[in-house]
Amino acid sequence: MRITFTGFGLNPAGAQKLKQILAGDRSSPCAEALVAHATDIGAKFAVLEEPYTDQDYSSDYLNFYASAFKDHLRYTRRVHLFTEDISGWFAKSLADQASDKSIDSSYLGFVVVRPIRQGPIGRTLLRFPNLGKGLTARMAARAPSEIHLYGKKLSVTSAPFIQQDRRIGACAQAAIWMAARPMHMRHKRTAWHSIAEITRMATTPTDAEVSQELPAGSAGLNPMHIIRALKAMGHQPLHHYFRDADGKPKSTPASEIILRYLDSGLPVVLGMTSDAGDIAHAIAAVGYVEVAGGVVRPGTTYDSFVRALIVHDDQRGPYRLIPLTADDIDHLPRDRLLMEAEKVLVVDEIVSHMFVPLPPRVFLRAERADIVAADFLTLQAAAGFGEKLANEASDAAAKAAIADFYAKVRDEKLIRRTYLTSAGRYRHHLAKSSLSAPIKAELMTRQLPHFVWVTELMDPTSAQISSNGPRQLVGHMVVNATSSTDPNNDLLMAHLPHVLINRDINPPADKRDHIEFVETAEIFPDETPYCGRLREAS
Amino acid sequence: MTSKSETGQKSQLLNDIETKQLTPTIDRASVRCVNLRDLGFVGYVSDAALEAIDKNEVRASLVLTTSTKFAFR
Repeated sequence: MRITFTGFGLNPAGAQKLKQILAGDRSSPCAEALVAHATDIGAKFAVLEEPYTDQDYSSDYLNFYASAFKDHLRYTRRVHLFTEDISGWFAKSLADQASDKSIDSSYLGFVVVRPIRQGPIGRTLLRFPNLGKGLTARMAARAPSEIHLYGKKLSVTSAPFIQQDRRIGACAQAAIWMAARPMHMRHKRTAWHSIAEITRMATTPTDAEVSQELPAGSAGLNPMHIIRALKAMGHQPLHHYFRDADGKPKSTPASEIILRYLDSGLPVVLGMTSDAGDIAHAIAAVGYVEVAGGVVRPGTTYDSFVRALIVHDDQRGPYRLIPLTADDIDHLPRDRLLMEAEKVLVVDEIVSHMFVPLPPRVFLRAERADIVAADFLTLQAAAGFGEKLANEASDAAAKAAIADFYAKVRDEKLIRRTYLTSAGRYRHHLAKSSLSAPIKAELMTRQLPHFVWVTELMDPTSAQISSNGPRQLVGHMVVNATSSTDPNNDLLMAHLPHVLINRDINPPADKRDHIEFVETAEIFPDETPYCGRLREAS
Repeated sequence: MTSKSETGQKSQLLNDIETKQLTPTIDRASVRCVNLRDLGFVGYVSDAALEAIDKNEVRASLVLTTSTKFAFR
């Protein structure tokens, strides 16, 4: 069998052809959304490669379709998308094709088309959207991958997407796949898992609920099944339920909690349930939409800068937006909003569950790290500690900056951005920052655990310093993410204006009976502004 | 005995190797250092924060009692 390549332009007729390739004659909101996303990111030309051996579909085939009485094809097709017509590249000699870099920048990614009618859209790697209008799409599930097209190596950074096939897996398995696959591709910390393997892990041991459907698990998973699957895949599942015992949303918005994990580069599985019971659906959150300017709503946490989560919904398509609140709806591109009939779905109303595939060594929740960081500042401000520290400073500018900072803490005029990182990545960011060298050196030579929660502190008016750039900080705090024995031992360091606080939780042996930790403050006369960690944008 | 003697020689050789101090030196001349206890502050987590942490973890455990109510399709 030979591989064939067929190219076509994505004018309206071409877009229709692409939709037909993806969904046949069936109505498919997912295929429509996918085609709309492709054209939105600039796709002008498609190349259909067939046959294509896809590892994920091969696993599906081996586990189910090969044993079906009806014949299913063994191979898939793959559609590559480009921002320009690349027919000329195919006309070159094979040696020139492989070395020619002219098509590299025009490559947008691909869609695998499976030979199964009920769920044809297979593994899909397409670039994140550019949203315009002062909106920045930040990537949480950022998976770089290399693709080979006819001997030519191409690359794309994406959040992998897949549609459920309703036989081997339902939306929950697709959402787990979409959250876990980029973790595998980027960090290689966990193994490669197909949908069939996810179903096997979720349904082992079996129970009465999964046994109601054949094949087991094909009609959906409950939270316990999702947790089982994530654990068996090598993650440390963190499950959060955003409702109280009566099923009503809790006072802390779900978006505030979800965002800290996304901002840590961790894609999350979200469960959506409605009061009426007509929605019980799982999706994967793969990024978030941040505004370029200051906060868009009152608050003290980073979600105040955020309008929406970027989600993959296996039924509604890739890169959909789910607004954090109803007030955000009008500020977002309407054609990307997650809808149920005519109603726009909103995070704080519809998201009831969250499942985070955490690294196994992280033993402290983001919420706790944020509470501990905020509490430390509040206690200091309440005790008049700012004035005492300001008095210790010899420099008038330093005195004013310290006093001003604690006044902001008292007035709740600071935004906290809490995210997980490794000590190595923390030091790497710090080393590159414009923070004064003596403070930087002091911070970088402190011993840290492998994982830390960093809480950046910034003004509510702090805008991106350049297009899609970072925001200026007034300080940051570091919390131990690897132990949860005692909240008093969580905070390790804090950089506040002109002040560096270090908490040594392992004091000298002869003092351990008397004191739990030693806290020192170093006051620096000079300081230069610096920016927060930049999560990559599309 | 022979091996003991060899080990001793090796240690001597290692001691003779010239080493360089690479840890960055920080000019502390203008840096004021204070112990927070001397300023009357000990950063124990407040009761309110401990309560918030507990509440948060209780909410997480609620999941166990409600988990089988949902099936995500």
